[in-house]
Amino acid sequence: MPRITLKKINLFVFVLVVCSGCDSAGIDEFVAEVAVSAVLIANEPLPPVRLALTGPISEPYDPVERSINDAQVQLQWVQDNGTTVDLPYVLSEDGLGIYEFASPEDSVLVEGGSTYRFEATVPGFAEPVTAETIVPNTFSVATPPPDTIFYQVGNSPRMDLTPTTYPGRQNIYMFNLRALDPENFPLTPFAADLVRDFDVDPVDLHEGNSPLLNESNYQVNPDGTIRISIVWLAFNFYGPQRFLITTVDDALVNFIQSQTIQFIPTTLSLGEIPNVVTNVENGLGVFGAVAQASTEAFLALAP
Amino acid sequence: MTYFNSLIGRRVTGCFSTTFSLTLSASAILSPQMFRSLAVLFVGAMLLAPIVQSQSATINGYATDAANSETLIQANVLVEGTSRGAATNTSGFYILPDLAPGTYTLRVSYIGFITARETVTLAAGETRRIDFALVSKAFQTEEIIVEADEPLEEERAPGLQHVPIQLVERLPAVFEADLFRSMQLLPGIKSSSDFSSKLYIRGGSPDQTLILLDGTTVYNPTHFFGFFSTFNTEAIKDVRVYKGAYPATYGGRLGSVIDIYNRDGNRNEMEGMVQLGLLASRAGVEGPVSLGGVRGSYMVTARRSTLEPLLAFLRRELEEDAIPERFYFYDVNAKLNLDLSPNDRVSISGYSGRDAVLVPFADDAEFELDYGNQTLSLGYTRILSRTAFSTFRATGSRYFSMPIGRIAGTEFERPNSIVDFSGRADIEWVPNQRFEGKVGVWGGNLDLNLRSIFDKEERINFSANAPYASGYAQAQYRPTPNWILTGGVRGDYFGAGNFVRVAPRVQVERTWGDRFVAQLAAGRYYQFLTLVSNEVFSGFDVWVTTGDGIEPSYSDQVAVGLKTRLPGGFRFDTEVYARTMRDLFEIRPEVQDVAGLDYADLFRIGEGYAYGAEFLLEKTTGSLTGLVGYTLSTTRRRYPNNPGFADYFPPKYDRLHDLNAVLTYDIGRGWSTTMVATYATGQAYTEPVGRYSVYGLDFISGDVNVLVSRQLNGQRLPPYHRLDIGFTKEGRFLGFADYAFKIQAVNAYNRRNLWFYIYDFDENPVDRSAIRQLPILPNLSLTLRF
Repeated sequence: MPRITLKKINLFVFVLVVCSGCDSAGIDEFVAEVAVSAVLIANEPLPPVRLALTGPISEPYDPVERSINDAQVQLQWVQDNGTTVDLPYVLSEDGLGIYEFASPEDSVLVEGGSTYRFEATVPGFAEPVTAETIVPNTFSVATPPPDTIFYQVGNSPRMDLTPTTYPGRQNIYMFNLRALDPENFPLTPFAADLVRDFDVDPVDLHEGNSPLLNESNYQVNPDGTIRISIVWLAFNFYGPQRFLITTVDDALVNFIQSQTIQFIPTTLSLGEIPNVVTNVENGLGVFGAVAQASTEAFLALAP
Repeated sequence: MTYFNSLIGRRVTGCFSTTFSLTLSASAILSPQMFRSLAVLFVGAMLLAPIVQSQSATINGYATDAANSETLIQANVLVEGTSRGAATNTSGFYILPDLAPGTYTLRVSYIGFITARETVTLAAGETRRIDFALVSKAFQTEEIIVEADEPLEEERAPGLQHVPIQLVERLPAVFEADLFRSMQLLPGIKSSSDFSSKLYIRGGSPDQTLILLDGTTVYNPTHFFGFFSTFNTEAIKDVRVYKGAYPATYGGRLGSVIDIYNRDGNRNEMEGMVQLGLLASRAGVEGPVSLGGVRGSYMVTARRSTLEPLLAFLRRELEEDAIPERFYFYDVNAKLNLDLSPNDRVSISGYSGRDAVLVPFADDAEFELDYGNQTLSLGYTRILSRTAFSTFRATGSRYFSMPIGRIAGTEFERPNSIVDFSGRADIEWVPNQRFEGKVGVWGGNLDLNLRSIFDKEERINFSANAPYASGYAQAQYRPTPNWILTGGVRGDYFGAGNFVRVAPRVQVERTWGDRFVAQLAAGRYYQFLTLVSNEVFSGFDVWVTTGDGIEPSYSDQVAVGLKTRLPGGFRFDTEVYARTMRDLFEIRPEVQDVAGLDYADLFRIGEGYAYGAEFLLEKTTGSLTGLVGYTLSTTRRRYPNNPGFADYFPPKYDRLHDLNAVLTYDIGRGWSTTMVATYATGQAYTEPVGRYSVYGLDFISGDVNVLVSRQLNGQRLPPYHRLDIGFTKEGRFLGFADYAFKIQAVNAYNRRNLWFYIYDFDENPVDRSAIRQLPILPNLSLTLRF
């Protein structure tokens, strides 16, 4: 056994630390990418598609300046027999990177259950930007909530939806509630306190939405309809309300889930921010699809 | 328990090969041939033992503190003039078998105590019971001076670290002396932030550490939503941390073990203590008991937060929402010990801790949380024979968390509980000076419940009833006085998913003279549970188990170290380690609703690795004592089936450099000062480089903004550093009690260490705000012991 002295050990430690070097990380460079915004709605006309360049986080973001106005854009409808129908898009008159279906006079509606593809060729980008999605099947409100709902009286309001399906999984819903006349009706107590004590802008309370909710949360009625409830928490204003019920495709599920944890980290460490999951190849954003139904009711103070 | 007196030191330390290969796995070391050899060794030793014993004498007994008769764990018992020795086990019992007839002088030592000697003459075949009562050096002088020839405590296993409770009490603390926060100063143990007492040991997350209190598993030992650990240092006698490659006697966690033992209570006289602190106050009483002629001891300590008057004042004066209407925590530790006979001892110990908060944070909105832990342990130890010692234990452990939110007429609850009842038996057998065996079984039932109730409707109801069982055998063989070979195997069954796993463990030790010990340890480790946790707030923590489609996690570990004893009362320990982590199962962080999902779909499956080197320079003698610990380490994880996490990335707690210095100086006249200095590489974080917005999502209110980064956790926050200083004055208080008055400053130079950034898209460009960790915090406390 060689003689080990304190001096040798100290030298060894010193060398080890020096050799390990500093724990430095390289600078992450910004590289502009194409961001796609498009949501197909079942049984609705083909939607606009918006293309923009991502911007550096440290610089002001100007949507006009970052818009892409010189791309070649096209959608494809994949029919059940596998044949495809090209759906060409052109830049809208407003510009701003918004492209619209080139033949609106054809009244082409998005077909629930079908597959749609997206492709854009953007100057300066070698690879075409592509994406694909399956549109959820349509549904409707079978039994709306009462015309007048008294706030926090009895159970929260309920409605029934006709059944619908999505390939390979249960339906995933998102509920949106909009106050239709917030200027003329007061805030509910909790919302009023948010404005009074937490400096929340009332405009930000005009509309709210749920997180993504699985169909398994809800009761299936004997006739096959789905009974859902709208919690009291969702109401910020008294007065007329619009309920918008949306079922979303896989692209939007992945996009919304991953975008949410960028700002609400759940079990992630603070500062650990994963990139958003996108179905867009050679780009970012989302080419998604939904099916929607809506209904209205009036929220009144308890008598 | 037996060892040779050439063995020294407390931890695995020393030099290591710079060619150490990170690909070395425990499974490569632990071949089937080695298992067979171990089995032959064990059986052979058992057969030979009676022959050897028939001609030899044996000494056994307990080592205790003379002042209160508390048993001393890992006290050294040496036979002077020979290479023979033993260390007391976790019950304070030692066995010195296979001694030739003759006269011997036994020397018993324990850190902080005066070494005791006793001469005995043994006849052939004689078994002599000798219990030692050691006198604390504190009784010799009021000043804390440790002699230069302080005997070294026996801590043989690699990665094993003893945590002196006296030091924990002395360290500057954020309001309360805290065991886990003190442990974060040791090499290889990290924290996630100033706000968390959770332990990240050798690249493992907090749930990879098995935490035992008197042999009972504690599932979520936090107070104040993670700010403090639950353990009242007044109640603790001994703490041992196995940072990795732990022996077969433990199992069920991938990484490490923290084994905590409550004090038995003073068997000689009744005494009490009261401590007043800024956040909480403590009280305790202990003393001897006699029940029907059976003697023993008891101990009860309690701690409770004392924030209510302050909160009431703030509510009244500020008229602000979000000031809690109810906010307290408490914990109670109690233990009763009875000596049924010279060979039989029984103890019952319990712990109950609870945190409760009710915050009405707005009109028509409040949040309520009630969470805590309860444990109960019934222990029985029996000296089976002159060379065998047994421990039997029945345990119960419960963790519960009951958060309730009520907002605008909508109520949501997520009750979660875990109830664990178990029984275990361990037998230690020391037939001769070459062989030592341990066997044990542990079985029980784990009952997990998690429900989610939203707007009066139950949305989630996960329950898992998991019977479990494990058994181990460990054999230790000394072919020569300089070598110790230890092999063990542990088998585990877990009912949730019906998994059976077998895990080998091995340890090799070589000593040179009385200054150097080199060690190697390796093993495989399995884990059947995962904690769903948030590093900020522990009150919502939920345990989940293996199950259909979810395999147990496993880890292979290897550690190599050298511990050295240096002149001048210094010790220098070095240890290098490497470990893998496979089949890590964690709840997918992005899932917003789990209703209707298959069990396997709830999880992301990951893997990882960690390696590093730990250095510890310690001085235990003289007026200036302390330690300097340095860790050079790396850990990475990835989750291939989880987009965004598919590539290896450094977790937030990964830090290349970690340097801690703890120095205590005895000023004199009852004054002492303690300083803690910390420097660490900045934590990993994700640096967004780009942004964009998505339009057309009319079913989502507000803008949909997105951050773009190049790599997950690819950047580092500025380095972390901090200095804590404390002064302690000890003396007599009005002639009836001993007092200790502490004045402390945490983060003395008010370094505003960064915690994380948040991004505000309401500003253009996006505004990045830094959220910082603790500012300078003063602390005062007064302790009276009577």
